[in-house]
Amino acid sequence: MKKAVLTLFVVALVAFSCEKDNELENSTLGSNPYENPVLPYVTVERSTTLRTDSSIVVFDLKIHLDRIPADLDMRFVQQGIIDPFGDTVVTAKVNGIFLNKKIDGPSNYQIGLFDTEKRRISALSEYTHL
Amino acid sequence: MKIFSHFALDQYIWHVLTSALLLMFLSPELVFAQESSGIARVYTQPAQAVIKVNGELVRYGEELKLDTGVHKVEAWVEGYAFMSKEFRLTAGEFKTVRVKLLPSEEFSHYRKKLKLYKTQTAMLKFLPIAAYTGYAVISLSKLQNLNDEADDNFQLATEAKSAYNNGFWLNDLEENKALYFQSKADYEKNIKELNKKRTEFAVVTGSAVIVSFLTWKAAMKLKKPLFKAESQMHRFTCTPVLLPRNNGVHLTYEF
Repeated sequence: MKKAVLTLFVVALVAFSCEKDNELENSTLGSNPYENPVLPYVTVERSTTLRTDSSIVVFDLKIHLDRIPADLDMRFVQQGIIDPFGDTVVTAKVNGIFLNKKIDGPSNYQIGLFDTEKRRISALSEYTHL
Repeated sequence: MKIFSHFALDQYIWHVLTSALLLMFLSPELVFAQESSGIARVYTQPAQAVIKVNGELVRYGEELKLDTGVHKVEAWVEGYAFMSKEFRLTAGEFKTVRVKLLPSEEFSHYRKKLKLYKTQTAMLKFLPIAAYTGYAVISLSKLQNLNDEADDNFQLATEAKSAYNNGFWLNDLEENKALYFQSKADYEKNIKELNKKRTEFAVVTGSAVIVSFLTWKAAMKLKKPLFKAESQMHRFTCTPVLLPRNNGVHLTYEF
């Protein structure tokens, strides 16, 4: 009986005297280059208005494939644009995209990529139409 | 003459036997009314009691051929009160005498003390061990759960970190970033709690060993109550021996 109790005691002490180490103590998340990209994935090649006082602007876009991951599944990827009024336009077109604009001043747009399957958006770049 | 007398004797015996047989056949009561003994047997409860009938030691359930009349039966066994009773035996009767012994007051008291002693000993010996075992089972189960939870959170944080580093979509990046920080915080909390519980467990185990050792020692020091009943059936006789060559006293003790 004494031996059993002592054995239990020793085993318990050995098993539990050593503390479990915090393996994430020095772990940091780092930075993802796609979170705040230096260069935009989609740029506006040309933006034209039909008339000076028009509230419509036409965009021609360019997708920079060299700036996005090579293994990205592009089947459901389209272009996403948030106009100055907060409305989002998702389109598969690259040229001739009609968008709303402010009549009385410059209009800011946020442009990026949109995954229509999982409804995900990439980092957006700013574009101002004067 | 010799032949005649022999014949006459045979005839006489023949007549006597015939008459006796006829008498037995016609009225057996007349024949057995002359019997002056019966059979008795004594059963006691408990069966291991010492039984005496008319002062003679007899066995449990033994068939005893006794004279008619009143007989005395005595019975006793350690832990029970001495019991004496009389019974009447008639001619030709087969009687069963049952004697139930009641536990003596001293024995009842002794049994209570013995029970208390056993309870105290068992509690001192095994209660701390049982309590510690219960605590250890619960504590180890909790430790195991905490350890599993910590491992899960570690896995989750590692996966979130990997997904964040390899992600592209902003939603995924934000989601994995939040998941990583949340999992890391949970993991660190688990580790802290786990280490605290482990220390607590080690301290309790050490204390349990010391307490168990002391209580075990205390249990060993408790004195077991003893019961020694004086025989109620003993008989001491002292008989002087007066012989031409050998004089003295013959002492006998009957248990």
